[in-house]
Amino acid sequence: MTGGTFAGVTTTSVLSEKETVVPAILVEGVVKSYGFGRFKALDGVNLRVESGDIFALIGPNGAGKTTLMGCMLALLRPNAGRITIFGKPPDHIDVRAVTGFLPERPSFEPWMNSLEFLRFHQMLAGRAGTDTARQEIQESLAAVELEDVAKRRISKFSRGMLQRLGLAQVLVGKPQLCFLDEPTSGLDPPGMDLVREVLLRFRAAGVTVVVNSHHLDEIEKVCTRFAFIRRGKMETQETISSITSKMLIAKWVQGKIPEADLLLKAVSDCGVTLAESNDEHAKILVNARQDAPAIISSLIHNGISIEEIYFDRRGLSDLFKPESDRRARKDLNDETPARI
Amino acid sequence: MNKAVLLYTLKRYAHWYTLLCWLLGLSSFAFFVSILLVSRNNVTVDFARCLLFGPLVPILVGYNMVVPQVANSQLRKDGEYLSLLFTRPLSRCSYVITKWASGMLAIVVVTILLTAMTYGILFLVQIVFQQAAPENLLDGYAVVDALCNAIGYSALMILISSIPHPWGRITLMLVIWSAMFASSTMSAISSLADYLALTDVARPLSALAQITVSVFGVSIDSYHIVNSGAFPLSNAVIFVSNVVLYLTLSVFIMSLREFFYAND
Repeated sequence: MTGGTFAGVTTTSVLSEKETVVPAILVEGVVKSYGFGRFKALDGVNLRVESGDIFALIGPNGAGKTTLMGCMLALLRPNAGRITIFGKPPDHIDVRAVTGFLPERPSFEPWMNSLEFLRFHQMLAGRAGTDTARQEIQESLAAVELEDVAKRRISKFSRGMLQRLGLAQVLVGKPQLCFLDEPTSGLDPPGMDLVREVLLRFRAAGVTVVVNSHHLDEIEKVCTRFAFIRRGKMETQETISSITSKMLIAKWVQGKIPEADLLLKAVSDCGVTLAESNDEHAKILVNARQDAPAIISSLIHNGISIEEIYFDRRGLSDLFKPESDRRARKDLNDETPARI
Repeated sequence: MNKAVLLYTLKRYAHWYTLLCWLLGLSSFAFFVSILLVSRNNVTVDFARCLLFGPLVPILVGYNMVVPQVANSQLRKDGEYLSLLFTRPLSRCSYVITKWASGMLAIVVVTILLTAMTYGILFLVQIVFQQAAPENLLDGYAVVDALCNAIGYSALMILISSIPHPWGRITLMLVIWSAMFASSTMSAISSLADYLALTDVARPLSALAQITVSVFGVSIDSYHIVNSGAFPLSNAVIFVSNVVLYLTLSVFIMSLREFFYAND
């Protein structure tokens, strides 16, 4: 049984044990075209999202992220390929009962107030009438800091408030799978912190989340895995840590190139990996930034003279660079064993 | 039928602003109908009766209340965000049936209100001018016709509004109204031809009018059904089958519709 504790309420999965072993989302060879096949928005996309993943969909504008999300939500029908959510078709009522969705541009019923809107979605999600229903609405409003405007009409809401309300609408359904399209869009910095907090709480509660966002720094902070999509094709699917692993670059004092054995010993003493070394510098792959003082200390202790030491951190933004730049960089990083 | 959609659709109808607008409109309409009724001329009384219990009220209510709730058009501020709704455990069939039921309820309530207002005005006229209301205004036939109009026109409006493209909706509406107009014109000419003993003209025209009604007819003439000698149930069967056909088509179209929410 999957589940966890979120917003003070323990969530338990309605999915059986058998269903939880299958991936949360499985996309196989999905093709989606518009204009009678003239434009392929998705071209043979494959994707696998495991239960409990906080998964980021990233890519340039017009890459097909929203179309892919639309297909996974069964709002769009693929021309070819197959999508399953917890082993079931995406338009299955059981799947929808555990799905939450925050659209990119929320335009909710303007005549309702926040409470009415959340009650409506709670009823739609089949969670009304429970003992905790009223409490869940209050908690959702509190989670997005909208308790003070609970009775204000939605038509009077600002863009950021609408976004927060949209997030509350996701929370009120107690989802096990969330699709968030640009969740930080239109939000101020405290609002962005709030989204991050919600995502971290989702992660702790074991909720699977698919996020489509251009805020790469936020994605790096909260997501576990990501997929990079460009021109309708899936280019990369990796863990966030693999792309944002930290590289410490140590430059030698001119003419004082350390011996290979000494350098290897200094690095291995700290339990980190030597990625590359040449006459000018060494690149050391560290697990965390906190490893840096120990490495510096070890290098000095082994008699290695360092002129300069700094972090060269690869990031998700590298993926957006032209392909030629990325290939050159990948070749550089893939050169193993390190030249010593 | 989805409880949440039904409840909140009715709640939306009952919003004070909507109610105020409708009450103002209805009172003006009731006043106009009352003027026609107090004239005590057979033609104007029939016309007033047709205004009260005929297709006009269901079409107006349907167009203003049902269509914007289903069409999801950006042009209408109050259009529902269907892409968000359909990510919830709500089947499109259930949505269509719920909207049809709520539209039907709205039409019935508006018709009752309108009739009550008309009778209220007529009562005032009776007190002030000592002029009695026409006796043949509200009878069983009128009630059945109004109820059937609510059922039929709500289904028709749901079908029209389920079409995603605005021009598609306008085209279908024009086709249906044109067909109904053509059918009534053909019926009138057929009756005239029959009166003039031109059977070669009367029969094909009558048949054509019947065929047109059998495809597009969503209203019922209960008086004709009760008092007609030949095939009295055929109109009722056509009415029921058309309502079922329109609802089935609406569910089918809604099931085929895609919602690219980024462009909503």
